[in-house]
Amino acid sequence: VPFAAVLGLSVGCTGFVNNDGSGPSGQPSPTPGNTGAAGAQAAGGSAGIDPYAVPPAAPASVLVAAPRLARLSRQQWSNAVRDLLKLADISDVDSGVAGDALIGFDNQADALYVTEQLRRQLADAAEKLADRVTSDADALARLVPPDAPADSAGRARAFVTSFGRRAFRRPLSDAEVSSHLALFEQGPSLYPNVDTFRAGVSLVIQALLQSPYFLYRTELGMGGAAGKVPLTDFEVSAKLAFALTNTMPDDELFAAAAAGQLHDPAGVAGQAKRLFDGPRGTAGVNNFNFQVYRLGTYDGITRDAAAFPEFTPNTPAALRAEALAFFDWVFTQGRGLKDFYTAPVGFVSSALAPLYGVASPAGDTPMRVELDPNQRSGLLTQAGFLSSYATGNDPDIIHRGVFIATRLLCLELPPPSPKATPLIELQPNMSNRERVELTTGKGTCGEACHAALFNPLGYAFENYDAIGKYRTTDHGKPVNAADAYTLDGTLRSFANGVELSHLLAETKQIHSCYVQNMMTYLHGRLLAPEEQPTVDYYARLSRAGRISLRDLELDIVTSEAFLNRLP
Amino acid sequence: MKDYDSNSPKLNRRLVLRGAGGLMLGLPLLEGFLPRRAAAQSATRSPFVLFVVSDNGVVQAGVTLGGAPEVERFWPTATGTLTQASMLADKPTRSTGELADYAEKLLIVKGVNLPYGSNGCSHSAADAQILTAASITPGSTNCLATRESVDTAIAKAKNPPGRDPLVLHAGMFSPGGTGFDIPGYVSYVAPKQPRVYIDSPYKAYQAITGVVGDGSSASSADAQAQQLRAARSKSINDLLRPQIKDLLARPELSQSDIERLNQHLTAIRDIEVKMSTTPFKVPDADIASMSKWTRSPTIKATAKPPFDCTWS
Repeated sequence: VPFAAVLGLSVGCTGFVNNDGSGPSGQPSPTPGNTGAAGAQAAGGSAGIDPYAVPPAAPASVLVAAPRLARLSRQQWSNAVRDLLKLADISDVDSGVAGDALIGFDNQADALYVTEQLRRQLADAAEKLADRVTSDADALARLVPPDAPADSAGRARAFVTSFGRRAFRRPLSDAEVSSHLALFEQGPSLYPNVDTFRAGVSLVIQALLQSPYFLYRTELGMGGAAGKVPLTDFEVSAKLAFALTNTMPDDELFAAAAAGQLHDPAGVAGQAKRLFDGPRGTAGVNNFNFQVYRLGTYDGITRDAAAFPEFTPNTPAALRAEALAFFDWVFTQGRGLKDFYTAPVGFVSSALAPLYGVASPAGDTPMRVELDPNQRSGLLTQAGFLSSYATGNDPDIIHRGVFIATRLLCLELPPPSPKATPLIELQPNMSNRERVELTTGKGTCGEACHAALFNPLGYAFENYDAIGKYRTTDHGKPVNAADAYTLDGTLRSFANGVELSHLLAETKQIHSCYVQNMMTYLHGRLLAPEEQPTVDYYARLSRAGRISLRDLELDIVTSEAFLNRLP
Repeated sequence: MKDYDSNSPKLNRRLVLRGAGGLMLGLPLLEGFLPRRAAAQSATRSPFVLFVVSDNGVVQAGVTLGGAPEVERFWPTATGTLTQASMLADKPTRSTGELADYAEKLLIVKGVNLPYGSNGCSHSAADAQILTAASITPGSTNCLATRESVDTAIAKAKNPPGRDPLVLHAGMFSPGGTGFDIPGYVSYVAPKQPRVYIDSPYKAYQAITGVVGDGSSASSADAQAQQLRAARSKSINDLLRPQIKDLLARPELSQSDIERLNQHLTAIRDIEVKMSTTPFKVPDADIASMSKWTRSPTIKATAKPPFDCTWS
């Protein structure tokens, strides 16, 4: 039962108050309410209408109210600073800047602030980075246009114009150039005993790195047509670059924006495809998948070395690398979401070979390995997911199920019952599943919630132990991974995790959930109800195996909703 | 830290930080935590308030873990006025007895049990309510408090402008969520805006004291450098403020855009030149001890009861 204890150390209001655990009078106690939104998320459609039929064309794009300013996410800031300054590694400075307190994706514009703490950290970071660049002749030379005039005034103007354009992701106005040159000229007084040019550059870099035009991406547009306001070419270039590559535009994208080539979807599609094929072509989608599949939790996995000698301190990093390599493979091979749950493929390094029972490749580079299709079927049977939801010694059936229900099927679960109790202790001759069933299964207070909404999803993966190794027995008893679960409104039976994974891949719910999440991420905002038909269309396409993840991403970033805003 | 604080009967910082493994600490007023020698020139110590919040973090009666009911080991034996004598008497069996020296300044509240209910966010729902006394946003995938938290309110009323509360999250932290996958936040800058945690006791200590390792006395060269740094900060900020104001004047912005930009504008402050002349040194062992508690899964090995029940 969740609750929090609080100690207040203060003056004036003291003592010990005990209300015996009850809430304030008049407040309703939490109760196990409805049984979730499974029905609402079902395939839908009235009788006689094929819920899986793909319409001949996408629905008309709908423009909805959206933020016009989007602060760079924490990672976008880090990547953009690195690329703007043309540095290979800024990790020492980067570590001094905090992340954001967020619920949801890391790039939700509405939830990203510049607080006092962050402002101070950004100022410190800007100072250190400017010092680093101006203390290194080579680094400084990379930021000054090669054709800059030799005279100091001309050189300063060339630097401000060129570097400022990349920092603001658009050309500076004359007034902006002048104001930054004025700051540049304060160099000798504010950095005495430092070379005049270096001093001025340092000040300008610090100012640009803290400018709202660097820290925020704008979607102000350029006036416009009836019913919609097209974003400017430079706004499109920034939006596209951050969405797809999680960093600032590269030179070619800047050039395309300057040439006015990002006014139409075809021009944007051309640049998107170029970015996909470039060195950072999967950075955006990998960051998205990283969050959906909670790869950040892998770092925290530890296991008792005596019980699991195969799980070493190197294993968590290998698990993360495997998942990322798998994402890359699906994306770059032009595969779709179904492959996430059906491909019997692992990306195995020496640390993971013992977990999959395959020959160990040399080194830490994940190598693609075809796994036994009777035992492995995509992400949910990879050791990363399985290990991340396990207690010290046993699979965490409940949270494996909760993850699938909430993250992959987008179900809303009711709050836990106030009568909920911790799992009973494992007894001799009791399986992990029996332990969960006795505590939360049929005939317990968890029957309506656990037994119906997520436990079956977790039971399916009882063939995998706490580090994801395949097993047929558990605590001396044969594994029972069979159960049934309602998918798209129909109760479906499965024998194990492989069968469930294949059922999930054929379920519209899982495609709707993924499309909804990807649109949310690429737009950097929550979706509006009016966008549901678009979600539904792409969910049907994805379920039918008719759109790859790459093309799904491409369609979203070339849509009217991506390239325009509501007037 | 004992070398400069050993004479103080006040709250031992190391004890607090150690005890906070897996907890969130809110520190709106911080001068009271300054090392004794650093604050020696001050005639009186500034007041401070500290909140220690822990999900399921106390060993208490009524909780069943591992199949057996827990024995009460946390709460005072009786409600009502706390006295040093009563807390000392409790000390052998109750963890809170460790704070007997501060009895007259303590408020211990028990039973704050999801007053506005949970919505599927589990622990996160409790976190959002505990210091805000506010309802939470609807939907089981959303769990944000609809009001600022008490540490924010106190800081606004009592701190100098621009000095925010600090929130330390020490201990096991699961990126991307807890329980039902929703991260928990206890401190709120404003409605639905959680405050970012500091993830390491050492970083919190640095933020509180400004100390980085071997603090040394300020020389005249240091003072001049600090003056120049402040002047640079002012020149840069003089450039930034009009940029934000220009943006704020754009008619295209939404109310949310304006609120976020206004918060940014308010946050821009020039560096205050306030040079410490009091040397003191933080022992390397203390730095190492605090640094290693950066949130990690291994915190369970170092956190001590009663605070060893961390995120799960």
